[in-house]
Amino acid sequence: MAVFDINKYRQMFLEEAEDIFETIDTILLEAEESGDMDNETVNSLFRSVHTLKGNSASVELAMFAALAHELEFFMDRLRNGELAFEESMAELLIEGVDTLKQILEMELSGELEESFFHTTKMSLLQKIESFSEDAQEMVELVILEEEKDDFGLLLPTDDDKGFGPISGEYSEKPEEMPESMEEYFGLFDDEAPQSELPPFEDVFGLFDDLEEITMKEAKEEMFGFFDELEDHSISVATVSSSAEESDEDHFGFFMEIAPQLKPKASLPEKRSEPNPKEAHPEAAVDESKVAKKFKADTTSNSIRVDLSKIDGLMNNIGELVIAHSMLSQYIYTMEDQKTKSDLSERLELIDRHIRELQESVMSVRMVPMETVFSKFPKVIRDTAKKLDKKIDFRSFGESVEIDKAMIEGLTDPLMHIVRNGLDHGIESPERRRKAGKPETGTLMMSAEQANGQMIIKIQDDGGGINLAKVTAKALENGVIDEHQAYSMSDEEKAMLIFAPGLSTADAVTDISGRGVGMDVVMSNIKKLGGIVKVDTEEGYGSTFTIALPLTLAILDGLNIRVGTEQFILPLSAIIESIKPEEEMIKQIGDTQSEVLMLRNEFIPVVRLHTIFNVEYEHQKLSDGLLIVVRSAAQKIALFVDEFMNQQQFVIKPLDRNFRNARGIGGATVRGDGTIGLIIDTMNILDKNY
Amino acid sequence: MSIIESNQLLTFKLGNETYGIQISKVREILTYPTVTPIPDASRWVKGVINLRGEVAPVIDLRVRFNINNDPVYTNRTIIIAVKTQDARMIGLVVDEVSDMENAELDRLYPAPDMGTSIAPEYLKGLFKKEDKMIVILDIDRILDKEEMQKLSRQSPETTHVLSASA
Amino acid sequence: MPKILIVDDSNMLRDMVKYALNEGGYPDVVEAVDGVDGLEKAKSAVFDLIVTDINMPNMNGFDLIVELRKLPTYAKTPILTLTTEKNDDMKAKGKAVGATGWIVKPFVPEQLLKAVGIVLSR
Repeated sequence: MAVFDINKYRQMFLEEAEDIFETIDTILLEAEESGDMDNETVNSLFRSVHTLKGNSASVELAMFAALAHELEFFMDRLRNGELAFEESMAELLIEGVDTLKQILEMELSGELEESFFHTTKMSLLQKIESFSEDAQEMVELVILEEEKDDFGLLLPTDDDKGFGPISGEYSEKPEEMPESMEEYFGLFDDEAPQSELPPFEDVFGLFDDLEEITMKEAKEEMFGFFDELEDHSISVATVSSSAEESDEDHFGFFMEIAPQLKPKASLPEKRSEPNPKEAHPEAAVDESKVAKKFKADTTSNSIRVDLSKIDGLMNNIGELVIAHSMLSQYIYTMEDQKTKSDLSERLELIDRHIRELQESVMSVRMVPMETVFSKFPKVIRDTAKKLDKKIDFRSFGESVEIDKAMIEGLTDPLMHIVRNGLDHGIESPERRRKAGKPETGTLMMSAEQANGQMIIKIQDDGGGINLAKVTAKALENGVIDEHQAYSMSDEEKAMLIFAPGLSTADAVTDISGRGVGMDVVMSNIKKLGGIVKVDTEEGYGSTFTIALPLTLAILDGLNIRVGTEQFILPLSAIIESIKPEEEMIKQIGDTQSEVLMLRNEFIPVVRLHTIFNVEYEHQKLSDGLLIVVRSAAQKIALFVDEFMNQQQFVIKPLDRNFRNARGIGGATVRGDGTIGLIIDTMNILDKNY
Repeated sequence: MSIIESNQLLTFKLGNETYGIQISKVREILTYPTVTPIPDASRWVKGVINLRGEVAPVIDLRVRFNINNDPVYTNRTIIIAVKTQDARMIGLVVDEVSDMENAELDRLYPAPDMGTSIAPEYLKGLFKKEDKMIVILDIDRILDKEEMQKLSRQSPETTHVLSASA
Repeated sequence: MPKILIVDDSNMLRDMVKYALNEGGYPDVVEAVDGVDGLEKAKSAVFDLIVTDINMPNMNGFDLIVELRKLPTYAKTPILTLTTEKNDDMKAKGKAVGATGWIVKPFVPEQLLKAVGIVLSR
């Protein structure tokens, strides 16, 4: 007999739940800010929680479902007009949803104790209670609700005693168990294991068999959904489904159970589907109209694809690129000029198509930065609250696209920088006032593409980094020595925050973490192939700048020769290349290091053969070539013997243990099958070779 | 200790001694190709090569275990390409490849503390075949993460002052 | 070999239904993510059974059933609604739009298959 793989489905539930939570968070944050919630929003909120409840029950997350049920009920009362939205409800709802998230995490990891759950739930209910005018009614409802919990979930268990109640209340009030519970529960009888599942009749039914519901027959008319009115009777707004329908049949639709409707017994049952349609007798219900009424969840035009499939596609393209370069190299060696040029021409065509294909696949992996930004408003709001600070969060460049594979590795460092800015950067409203700044601090996050890189900036108008403190701490920890401390520029001092072990927080707050610090941020960014730097001005604020490569996989590069070895330089790093005149080379400082004087700029020269420990052909700089490269704001001039051709390379992962190799950022398979090493200009700049 | 899957060994020579690796770990045997050197690598890491499209490090076992600290590389030098348990491709330089042998892997002698050029922790054991003694290498141990960290002379723990200017 | 269409906006739920159906001897299962997608897919093939969730964006289950019943191909096709509540509301609406039967979630594969068996044999 087939059985569901609960763990697999719980994982899927978790993924879907995360998306739903994000939607809910956005809605609630807006509601909190505006102090109001319109009907459509309430409905949307209701539907989201309803889905969470239903789906969690399907994966046996009983306690989560029970709590979701409470929230759903609350939202239902908002939805049907029984309760009017008040400003303070937004906060309560946010709290409720946060609790839901917490309970989910705990239940999934098996850490959720019933007693804790019970307390949490009751505390939430109590807060909800305060919004209801009729407290007595609410209390009764609460009792009923608790019991309803118990039989809301039709869960088979392996427990051979049959079903047990899902929450604790049941066992406390056995005499109050409504009859209907037996519909859903099996017997607590060891001898009847087959009744573990709810009886089939309760899970399935045929509409034709329904006789007890009286309806006025209306042929193929579509009945709309009904809304509960304040007097608890049910009426139906009907909508004709086709233009031919000339009858304007709006009839009230009273079910037999209508007279029995009392707050106690029926409110939980009066869960109708939302009815966003208005009564338009002649209006043909065409799909576009229906589609517009609902807040479009663009699920119908997109599909979820496993990232590994896209990686597979990228690999295939990578192989194409390699094969192309092999063919190209071979053609180069041909003697017959005519064949050679004919072939080259056709090969160029293929090259173009490969590039287009590559761009298409890459664009599949690209998602808007919005996905990254959207996580922040909630976190910032919560943290600001905790710290008693006022923060305004702004973001720019939501539509700028980033490789999906990077998002995971990026979110944590960004989160950390933001938290740091909130904790140490932005001052309390009081201090800000004293400093003549607006009480509300600003945190700005922006994304843009430039020079083949993705540039992300996080800027705050807080107090800036206390350079003296940081330098002192670095000195204390032995990261720098006295001489360095003395001669460092402000820029360099600011960068000290990325040194390991540096946490200038006197009291480690749990906001930024226990000195887990900026060094982890830097290494995480480096893992993505990027760099991070910080600029700060005391009293005015700080700006963190992260530069990431746009693509992880294919690179436009230049082949260069140093002695007998060849290396590859990424085109995106190259600013210009020159054959220097002797007068352009100067030697400065004690060490007589070489610099290139180019248009009034002094650019340090780096001899690649020194870095790579290889033989070289030219000694004098003016005999070889200088390639000026840049990384973020710095420039250096690389000395090489010759440059060869330019081509596309597929970046292949280099064993991680080679990551510390000087100046090397990656490897590629050349046209002749050998491995080519790709120069990492950031690394060369960083390490000051 | 990893599970021994098959009884077949590929044997090869490092200096005068015969060693063996489980055949299931071997992916390819090739003559010494053009190896791209990596700056700053340890002495026994000759560089990287293209192994079935993957960038694979080449490790000279002879240098690694001090059997021959200055070997010569000719077109008769062999590289055995192995795939580790965690799916990494690595090339091992050896002197020459000998035969395939069937070993009863439950009848191994434990490696002695002394006497073999390679320390016992890197060995699965010794197999006696007629009058030969085959030393069976524990490839996963030789190439495990910790060992691999020694690939580069620049270890990750070195801290540098993170400077903003070149 | 009956061709079955499952319409639900939850990836997880669709997978569960598909799994249950596959295990129960119904390999030909197609998925749709909401009413609009469901209607489109229904029009592009001939399904012997449609199982649909109610609460979905863009077009909910009841509306979908209304649209389906308008099409001659699907005037009499068995349609099952997947519902979270077994109450008179749901029953009334289901009956009104012309659904064949309902199945409450959460369900176990066995029950779903039994329900499918029943409606397919009518």
